Amino acid sequence: MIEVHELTKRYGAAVAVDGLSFTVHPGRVTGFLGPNGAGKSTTMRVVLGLDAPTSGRASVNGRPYQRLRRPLYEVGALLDAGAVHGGRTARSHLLSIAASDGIGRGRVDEVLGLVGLDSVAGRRVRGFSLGMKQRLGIAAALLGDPGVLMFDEPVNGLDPEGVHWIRGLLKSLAGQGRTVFVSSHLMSEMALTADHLIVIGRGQLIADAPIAEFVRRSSRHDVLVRSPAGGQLAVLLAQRGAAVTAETDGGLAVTGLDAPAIGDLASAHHITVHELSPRHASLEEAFMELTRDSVDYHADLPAHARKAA
Amino acid sequence: MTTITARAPARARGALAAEWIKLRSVRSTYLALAAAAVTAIALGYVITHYVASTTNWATLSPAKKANWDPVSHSLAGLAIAQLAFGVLGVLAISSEHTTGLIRTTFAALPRRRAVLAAKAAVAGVVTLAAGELIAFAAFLAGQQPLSAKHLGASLSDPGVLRGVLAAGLYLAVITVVALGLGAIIRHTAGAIAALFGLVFLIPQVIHVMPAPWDARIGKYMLDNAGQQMTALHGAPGFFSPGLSLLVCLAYPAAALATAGFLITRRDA
Repeated sequence: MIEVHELTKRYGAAVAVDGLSFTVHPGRVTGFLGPNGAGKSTTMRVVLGLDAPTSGRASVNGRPYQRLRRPLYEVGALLDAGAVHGGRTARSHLLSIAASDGIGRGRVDEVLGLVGLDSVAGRRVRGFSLGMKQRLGIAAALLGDPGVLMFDEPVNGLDPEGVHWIRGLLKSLAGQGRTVFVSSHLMSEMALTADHLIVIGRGQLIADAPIAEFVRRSSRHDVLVRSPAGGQLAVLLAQRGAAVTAETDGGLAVTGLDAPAIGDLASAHHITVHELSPRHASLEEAFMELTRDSVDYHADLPAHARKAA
Repeated sequence: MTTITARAPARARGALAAEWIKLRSVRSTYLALAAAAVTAIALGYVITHYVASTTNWATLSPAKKANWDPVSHSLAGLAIAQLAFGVLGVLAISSEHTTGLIRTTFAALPRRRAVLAAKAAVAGVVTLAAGELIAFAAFLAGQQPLSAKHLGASLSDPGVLRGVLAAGLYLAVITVVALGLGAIIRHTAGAIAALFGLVFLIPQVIHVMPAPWDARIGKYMLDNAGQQMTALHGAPGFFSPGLSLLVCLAYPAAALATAGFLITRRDA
């Protein structure tokens, strides 16, 4: 279990994490979602005792990280797959970490096999692809067979096969009753992996909910209608209790009536319809909607695209 | 409390084992030591060869005879070789900062001073062994051309063994000072530049100061203290070999104390 309580972290004038509180429970994959720069990595570094909080606290299994007696056996973390010495072999890298808590060579070979790097264990890490480095970082996190696992953007740089592998791994680790905390800036990825989501933006908590509730709460469904007699149709739709919003390009966004009902209504009044398309906001769009105000830098989207989001 | 004390030896053992694996699993360690050995031995041989070919004992002035130091001539290459040891010391920690590996290290061993101490111990012991080997090899190689003209010294002569041992120790001292600088500065190039300033630039500035200030300040300089504990005949105004040894040891102590103070106060 990971607990973060009223955590604030400032770097000079910049506030990276701002009064953040949440709990990560065992037995499920908890996604840690937020745009780049939202404070995900900072939060993870504070949990690991690497950065000191400005105020507030973080604990693992009820204790601050520094007070864990054998940290590798309690927490496994992958913060940055690139944080390896390029001149060291994969096996030496793992051996050095394992040695710091008395973990033997046998376990090193075991985790190398677990992540599928056994055939390149003797090669220097410099030649590894980002995906191989991610696997190496995950192997390091698994060394002590810990009950709490924390991965910062683990699917970055992985090929589709690797992404599929990570999803399965995360789910199986959670299925064994472990606490699995995974950050990502990609909602679509979290939708496939996580059971529970903690969403932050500008260092503040935006949402903390099971993914199913998240979908229900955030998604919007409407029907886009285009008609040369749009004004007339809009009045008729409103009379039937539908909510109609005019799109800037002349289309109508209709909620409260489904596409067949709208088509029937138009037909009954001899109104020509050029387009009638049900739209479902994807989780990705729901995420963008939720975090729009907290994104530091975003490209200006065309107005209709924003509407769709 | 008992559990904490019971864990302490295991943790120290773990930290030492981890650092030992790290040091011997990168090429830079071997390259640095090989570069230092080649530089020290080759340069020492060239210098003693030159000295032997241009010196005639019979025509030397009595003052020069009294100050004749075949040990320092043969160990002159160590002045350059020390840089390779310094680079080794800096890299032992700065490479972790530049790659971010230090976070993995501190996550595995949250007691950061234990990590620093283990790095210093492993790098110190390895470079002490390598430094002594190189110092003895450079001495023996350098005595060849000197002895041919009866200008050389043997290890059984007074002060010679002390001088060669001190020269080897000095290389380990430089390594640990460099490690401390690497931990303080956390950038490879910056730490190497700082070390360069400490052992080359500052002594040069002090060297050109008027007497007696050159010695009054200079005797506290790491570079001079290293020379004084190695030299057969101490320069006037400088410390004895014994006191120079203490000056030498104060530098790694100060560097590690500063690094140890900062290491728990900064974000990794």
